[in-house]
Amino acid sequence: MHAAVVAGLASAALSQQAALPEAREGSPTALASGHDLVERHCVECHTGENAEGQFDVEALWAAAPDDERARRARLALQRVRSRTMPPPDADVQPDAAARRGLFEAFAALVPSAPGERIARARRLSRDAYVRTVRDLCGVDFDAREALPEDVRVHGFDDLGDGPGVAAADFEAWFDAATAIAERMCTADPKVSVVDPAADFDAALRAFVRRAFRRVPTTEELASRTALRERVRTTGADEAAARAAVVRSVLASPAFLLRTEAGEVEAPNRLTPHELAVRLSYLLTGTMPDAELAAAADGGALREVAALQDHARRLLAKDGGRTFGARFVAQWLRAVDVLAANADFRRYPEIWNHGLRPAFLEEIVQLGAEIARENGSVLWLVDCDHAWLDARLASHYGLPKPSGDGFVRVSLPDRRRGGVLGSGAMAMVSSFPLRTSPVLRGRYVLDQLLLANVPPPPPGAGSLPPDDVPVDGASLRAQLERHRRDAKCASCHASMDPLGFALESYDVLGRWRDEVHGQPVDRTGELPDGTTLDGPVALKDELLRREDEFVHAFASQLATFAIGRAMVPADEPELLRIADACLAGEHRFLPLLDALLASPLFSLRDPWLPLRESGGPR
Amino acid sequence: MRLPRFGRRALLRGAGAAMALPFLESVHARLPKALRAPPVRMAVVVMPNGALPWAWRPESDEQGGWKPSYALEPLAARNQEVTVFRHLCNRNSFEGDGHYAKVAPLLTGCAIRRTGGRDLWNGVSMDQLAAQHRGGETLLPSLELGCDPIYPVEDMGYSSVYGGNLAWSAPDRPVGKQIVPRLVFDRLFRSATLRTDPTRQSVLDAVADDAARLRARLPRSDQDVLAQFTDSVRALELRIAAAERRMEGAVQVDSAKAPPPGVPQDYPTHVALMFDLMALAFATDATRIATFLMANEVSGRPFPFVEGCDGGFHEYSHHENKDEKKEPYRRITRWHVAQFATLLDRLAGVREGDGTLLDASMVVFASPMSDGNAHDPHDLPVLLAGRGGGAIPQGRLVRSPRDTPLCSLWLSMLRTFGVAVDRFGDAEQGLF
Repeated sequence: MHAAVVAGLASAALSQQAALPEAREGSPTALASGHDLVERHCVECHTGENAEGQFDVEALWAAAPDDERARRARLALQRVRSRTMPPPDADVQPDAAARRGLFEAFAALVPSAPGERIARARRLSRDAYVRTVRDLCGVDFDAREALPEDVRVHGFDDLGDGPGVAAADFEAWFDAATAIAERMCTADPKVSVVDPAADFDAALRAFVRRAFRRVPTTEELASRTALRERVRTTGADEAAARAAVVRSVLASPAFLLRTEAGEVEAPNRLTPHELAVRLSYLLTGTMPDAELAAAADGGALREVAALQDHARRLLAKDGGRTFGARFVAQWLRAVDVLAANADFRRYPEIWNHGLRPAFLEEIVQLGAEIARENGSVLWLVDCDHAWLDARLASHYGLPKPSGDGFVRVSLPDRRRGGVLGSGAMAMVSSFPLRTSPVLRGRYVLDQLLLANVPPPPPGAGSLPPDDVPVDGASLRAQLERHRRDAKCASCHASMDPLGFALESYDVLGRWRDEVHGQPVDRTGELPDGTTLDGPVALKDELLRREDEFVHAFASQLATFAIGRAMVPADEPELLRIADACLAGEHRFLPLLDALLASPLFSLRDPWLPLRESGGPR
Repeated sequence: MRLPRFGRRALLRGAGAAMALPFLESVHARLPKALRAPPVRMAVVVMPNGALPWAWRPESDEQGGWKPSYALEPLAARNQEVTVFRHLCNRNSFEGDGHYAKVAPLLTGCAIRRTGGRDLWNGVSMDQLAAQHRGGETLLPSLELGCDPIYPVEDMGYSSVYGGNLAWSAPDRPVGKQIVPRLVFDRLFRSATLRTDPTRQSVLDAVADDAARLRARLPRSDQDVLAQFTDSVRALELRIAAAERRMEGAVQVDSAKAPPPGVPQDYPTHVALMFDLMALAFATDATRIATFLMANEVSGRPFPFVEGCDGGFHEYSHHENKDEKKEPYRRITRWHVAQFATLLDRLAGVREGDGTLLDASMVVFASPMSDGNAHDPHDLPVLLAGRGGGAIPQGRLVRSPRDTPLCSLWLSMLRTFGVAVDRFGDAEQGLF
């Protein structure tokens, strides 16, 4: 191993070791091992033959590390995360640190298959393709009409667990490569690779270096040189030969897929070029710019501090806008608002075609601001300002802002601000004819707290599509009846009160005090007895659970950055990242810095020694 | 006949890209009479979320035919060209919960693996088996159409990827469907332009070399996707080879008649365009195999263009025996059948040899559940139109014994299509 590499590796290895459970220094529970916490909070009910729910936690530690143990540990994780365990009426309630300790203790019992922890090759999404082609080729390409639809996995459009590559995909990419090469040849000024006057070898090397986002191999260059000569021998001119070369680059898997092979001598460690690609697509949705590429070439990016510096530079350069549009808007499902539907007879305002894009833009702007200004990640939950244009302000019943387009508007009260008071949240959690407390509660749990509510069991039934009362029974009364069914109650008990609190927003996100002449019933009781009344109370509840929200942010950011779903083995590292944010006034940069410093970001498999590749090569 | 937005004749008019000549014009006239039979085509159109049984199931008449039920009324005019099947099912789908365990194995007859992750496991679907045997004879081995993108999530323990794929080329490989009409059109009629591209093969060679080299450098976890990439490059080369075999007598395609770009906002338009493309692909013999999943399973799409159906399809399908849900549910079923009827109109409007394109085809309409309320996997809604080139007696109501494998129908269709198999899925006997 090169000596220069060692320093960087050492810090990664250290943090990796420290990330193992039961060794979190500085935490109030550092002395209490995971098992002690389980003793304190779980065994009173869950032990022996008469354990509650036939769930004997102590036996978990004694059991063989098999699938059954992993299944039961996962179940425990889910219960701790969703706060259904320890139960609200337990005598000893764990504090936030103890809950994290419990979480780590159970996470340590879930082994992950090696493949689970390694991100797979990621296709360029349409969005990434357009941005990358713009930077690489100087061509504005409209991919919506030319490339297949993206598949969103875990909420994001370019993760590695996606659909793979189908014949139709490659055909579309091949056509796109042809079209882009043609446009490059007629552009003025030309990128040098298609300029017959430019030196071919130098131009080729530079172009392939940028397109493949790494140093090209000798063979990759030689096959292009041969291609050019072959085309020339058919009598074609230099321009045609160069166009063919460009097509072969843009249709190559090395361009279309983001792959990670790791360092030659330490295959588990990402190369500086691979780190640059992760960072660049995370923050700007496109290939590394010249400065970042140079830092990768020189190896400087092996230093965490260099990654962090470039992150700041990229956010400032882009104003955080791409980050808001790609990460925040996808995570919070604001992108779905474009396809969300409302009944146009009941809600004629939906004919205003600018409304849905404006709902999306509101969230993009807020996300951009948080990244650009190092704002609080909690602004997504509760914020004293919002980004609105005249249309949205009037839609929300707020004074018209001065200035054109979207501007930062101070809010008079807490009914707006953050995603909960946004039209995007309201629409993606509604049916065409009514709001849905169930979908809204689920939105809060799934998006903001990552609680992963299971889908309803078969035959669970459903509520009417319209909220006009039928036979005098309000929607709420029908939902209460549904909840009396035991198999439904456990999920709805935690979901519905959160959703009822959001009933003050109609299908299009406007404030309402009445539904069909009746006052809006926005009260609900959480499983722990807390009563929620309206969205402001819900915001307070979420702020009280800030550690969960920050953890959700960290988990989703890591998923988006790395390209795979987080697994239980990642939890200790995610908790560390979340802690950095909590200790840093909930600001964005401490969280991002902690992610960039984490083995999650710099290793292919964060839980293997650096030299191992995690699979035969 | 209801006119498609771009008719076959319109396409053959005007100046545009060259297109390989359809089967009949190029070959038919020069063949001995005995060999002049048009090729058999087959298509499967699938409606999600099941159908209300008492709205779907037709009565029999004295001649062994069927009398239109509420849902089948749009096919009344063609009841001599349509056979309705009763009591077909996929026995391997009885156990799995929810919609996905029903739709993914509809054309495979297998039980799918219960997983929300990426370790999908199903069987090879009948259309892909046919494509693997006979697909090399056409420009495209097969066509997979749909209207909805897939958002992979886990639902009742199954990946929603299962809910959006009928066609499976291998147990772990859904083929993926196309939802943008324009892209389908471009793909169908692209072969000719590829053929006239002198540098294409050299470019593809360089790309294939990249894929092979990259594959050697990458870890096991990325081998699958690189293998798919290589297969896709190869598939394009095969398509071009097929186009080159049919160089002679190219006709003109007016590219101005192509459907508009993007996904149509209006669902009826989207469905109509897909049926246009299906008919066009068959008429020009660009492919002989097509599947069309009209919406992904659990589709909650509203049907505001059908009176009284403003709510979501999936919600209506769980009708809980309430009239206010059953009524829109059956109307939505009938709407789907009515759209299917327009496909038959399109096919019947194309003359081929002594009959029509519909006579040469086998066109199935089916849903992976009967009563959506209970996710009932028995006695599925299934009907077959077209005579498969004359082999199939039509206009019948076929009552099989209870829980007869649906694969019996697929087996018969495969044989009629010219695939020599003696069993398929859980079926060893055919239905015709």
